[in-house]
Amino acid sequence: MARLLEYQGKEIFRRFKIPTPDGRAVRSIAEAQEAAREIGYPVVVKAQVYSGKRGKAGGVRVVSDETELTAAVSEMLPSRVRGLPVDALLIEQKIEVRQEIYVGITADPSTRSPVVVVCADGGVDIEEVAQTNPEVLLKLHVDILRGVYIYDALNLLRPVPGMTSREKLGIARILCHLYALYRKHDCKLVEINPLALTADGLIALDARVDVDGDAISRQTELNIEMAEEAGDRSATLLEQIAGTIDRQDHRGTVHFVQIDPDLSYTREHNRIPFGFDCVGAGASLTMMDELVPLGFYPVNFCDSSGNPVGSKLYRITRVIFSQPGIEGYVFVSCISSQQLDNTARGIIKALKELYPETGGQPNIPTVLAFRGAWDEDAIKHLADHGISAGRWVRVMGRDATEQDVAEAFRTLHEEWKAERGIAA
Amino acid sequence: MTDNILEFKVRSGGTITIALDRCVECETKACIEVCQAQGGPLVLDDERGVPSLRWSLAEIERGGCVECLGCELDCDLYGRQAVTIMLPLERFDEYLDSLTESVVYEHKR
Repeated sequence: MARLLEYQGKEIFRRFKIPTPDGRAVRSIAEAQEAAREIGYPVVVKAQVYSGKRGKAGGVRVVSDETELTAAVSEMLPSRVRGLPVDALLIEQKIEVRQEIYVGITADPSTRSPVVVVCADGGVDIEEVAQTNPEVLLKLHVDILRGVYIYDALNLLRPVPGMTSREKLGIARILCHLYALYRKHDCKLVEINPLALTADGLIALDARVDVDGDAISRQTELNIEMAEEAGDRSATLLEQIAGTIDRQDHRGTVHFVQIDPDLSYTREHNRIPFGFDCVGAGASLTMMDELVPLGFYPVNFCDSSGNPVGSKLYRITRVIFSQPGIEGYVFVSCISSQQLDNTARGIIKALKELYPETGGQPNIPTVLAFRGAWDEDAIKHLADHGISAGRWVRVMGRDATEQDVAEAFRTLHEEWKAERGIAA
Repeated sequence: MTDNILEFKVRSGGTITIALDRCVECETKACIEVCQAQGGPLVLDDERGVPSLRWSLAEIERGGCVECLGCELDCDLYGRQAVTIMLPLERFDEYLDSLTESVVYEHKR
C-alpha cells in the first residue's frame, strides 16, 4: 500500500472537484512565511506525516501572525510527530467550522466490494466509534460495476438529522467525486476526516489517500516511488531496488523490507543477523517466532508469494544476499499452491551466479524448506545442480515444521561458527 | 537476432539469448522440453534441429515466456550451455558500490 501525504491527497481532491482550503507545502521558514503572506493570516500549520491524530500530538497549530508562524515552523521543522519525522509542513487557510462530518471509502473484504462510510457526528476517534457505537456509521456497499449515483448517496444521508437538503446534496456530490477518485487511482482507502460544513459550504480539511501497492505501476501520474511501508523512515536504496522487481511484471510479488538496514539493532542486542525469504507473510511470522527466541534476527522481511515467476526469485535472492553481515539465509514456503519448482530455479540461478567457484553452494548457513505444490521437483532441482550437497546447505520438504527449520538452521549455524572459530 | 543467435526479451525486463551453433550438436534439447512443460515459447525447428519461437517477439515480451529460467538451468546441466539469461536489477551496481562492508558472497570461504 502507498499512502499519500495530506497535501498530495488534497492536490488530487482538487482535481476531482472536492473543495479544499488554500494551502502550500513548505520545507523551510522562508517558504512558510511566503505561503502565509499569499494565503493571509490566520493560517494553520500542519505536520506532513503518515499518521492521524496529529492535532493531539502537537502536529497542528493555528498562528495569527508571522512571529507565531516563525516560532511554530522552527519548532516543527524538523521534529517528530507520533514518532514520525516531519520533513514538510502544510500552510493552510484557517476555516471556521460549523459542523464536522466523516466520509470515507474503503474495500470491505466481507462483501468484496467498496463501502462508503459516513458519520454525521464527525470523525474524532472514528476507529473507536466503529467499535463502540457502530449504529452512528452510515454505510453503502457499492456494486463496483454500477458505481455510486447521486441518489444513492442522498439515500444514504436521508437519516441524518439537523441538516438541510442543500447540505445533504453537497455531501452527496462530494461522495460521488470521492468514489470516482477511489476507482480512478486504485485506492484501498480514501477519507475526508473531517469534511467541514461552513457558512460558505463544504470543504475537506484533511485528506487521506491510500493506493493499492499492486497498482503503483499504472498510477504513474502519482509519482509514487515505493509501495512498501518502511515505517518511520524513507525507503533504503536496496528497498527501492527490490521495489522495481514487481514494477512491470504482475505475475506474483516480492515484498521486501529491511528490518535492520545498518545492523544497529542486531549488534546492540547481540543477535545473529540472517537474510530471510518466505512464501506467505504468515509463514514468515511463524518462522520468526521460532528463530528469534533462538537468538537470530532477520535483517529483512520478504514475502515471495502469489506464484512469482522464477526471475523474481532470482532477483530477490540476489538482493537478500547483498545485505552485508548476514550469517545465514532461510527460505521457507508455507503449504503453498505456488509452483515451487520455479521458485527453486530462481534461487538456484542466483546462487550459481553469486558462488561460481562452488557451483552455487553458499558460504553461509542456508536452509531451504519447500512445502507445497511441486515441492519434490524443487528439491530435486537443488540436488541436480549440486547445491543441496553444499557443506552449509540443508534442504527440507513438506514434512518439516517451522520448528524443524529453526532447529536445522541453529545446528548448521553452530557448526559454521565453530569451524570458523567464532566465539558464541 | 542472427542465424546463430536466438534472442528475445521477457516481460520483467531481461533478455534470453541462445547460441544456436551449440544447439546443433545438442542431443537432449533440454531447453525445449522444460519450456514446453511450462507452456512457453520454445519449439524445435525441425529443419535446423535448433530451438525456435512459436510466437512473435512482442507476444513473448508481453508474458509468453513465463521466466521459469528452466531453459538456462537445464541447458547448463543436460545441454551445451548455450542459453544465457540476463536479468538486470536497476541501480543494483550503485547499491553495491555504496557499501562500506563487503557482501557475504565475496568473503573467503
